Amino acid sequence: MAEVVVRPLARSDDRSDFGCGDIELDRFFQRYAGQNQFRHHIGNTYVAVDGARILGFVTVSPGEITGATVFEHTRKRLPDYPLPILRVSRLAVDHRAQRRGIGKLLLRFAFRLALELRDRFGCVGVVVDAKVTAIPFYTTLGFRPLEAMQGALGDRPEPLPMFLAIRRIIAALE
Amino acid sequence: MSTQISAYISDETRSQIERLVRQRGITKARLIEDALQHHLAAQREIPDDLVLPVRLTLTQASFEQVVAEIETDTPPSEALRELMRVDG
Repeated sequence: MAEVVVRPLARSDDRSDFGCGDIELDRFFQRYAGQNQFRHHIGNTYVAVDGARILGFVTVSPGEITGATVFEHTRKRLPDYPLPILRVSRLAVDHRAQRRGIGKLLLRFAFRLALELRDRFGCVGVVVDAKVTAIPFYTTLGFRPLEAMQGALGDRPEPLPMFLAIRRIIAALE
Repeated sequence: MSTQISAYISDETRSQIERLVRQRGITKARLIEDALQHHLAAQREIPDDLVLPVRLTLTQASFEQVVAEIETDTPPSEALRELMRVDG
């Protein structure tokens, strides 16, 4: 078996056979991940591959978080603009590759992207849009649930946005 | 039945509208309504799957928690350490 590597989605990748068990995620990956990346440039997808076979994917985009209103004492501590983040909007593993650590591999890759974003442009943390079943997993990693007023994904069932500060990721590497 | 709307637009857009109106012999109202209908149709064509909102606006309390998180030296969880340990 070839080594599993994570790389950007390519136009030539065959996504038609991918199936993670979640019809919405499969539909996104098969029909729209390529449009997002190659036509609209509104989010990049990275795939974990074993040779030519796609085992999983993660879709990320830079974003920002802000408060509907901000207390004066908070405003004084922060710059007067939204906080830059990396948003992990979708992550899925093919059902034939589950329980092999592919999801963790992809998430680790996304964290590395967040560190790169921090170094190049600034990034205070990672926001994941967690499916209900994934919330306990993200909680063990230290993600905190967010109460969004605007900007949630339109997926159904609605995922829960969760936040992890970049300094925690850095500390985990030390 | 129709209704009136007003909007501030850039001088550049205004020039483009006036040029197009002259070229095509249609009214500004017709042109603007067509443009809006095109835009609304395009919005309907974009599935929710394609929309990755750039900005996440939080409640005041939730935003305060985020600020506290990014300012606090909370040690990472063991699960996070384990996750990041694998490839060093």
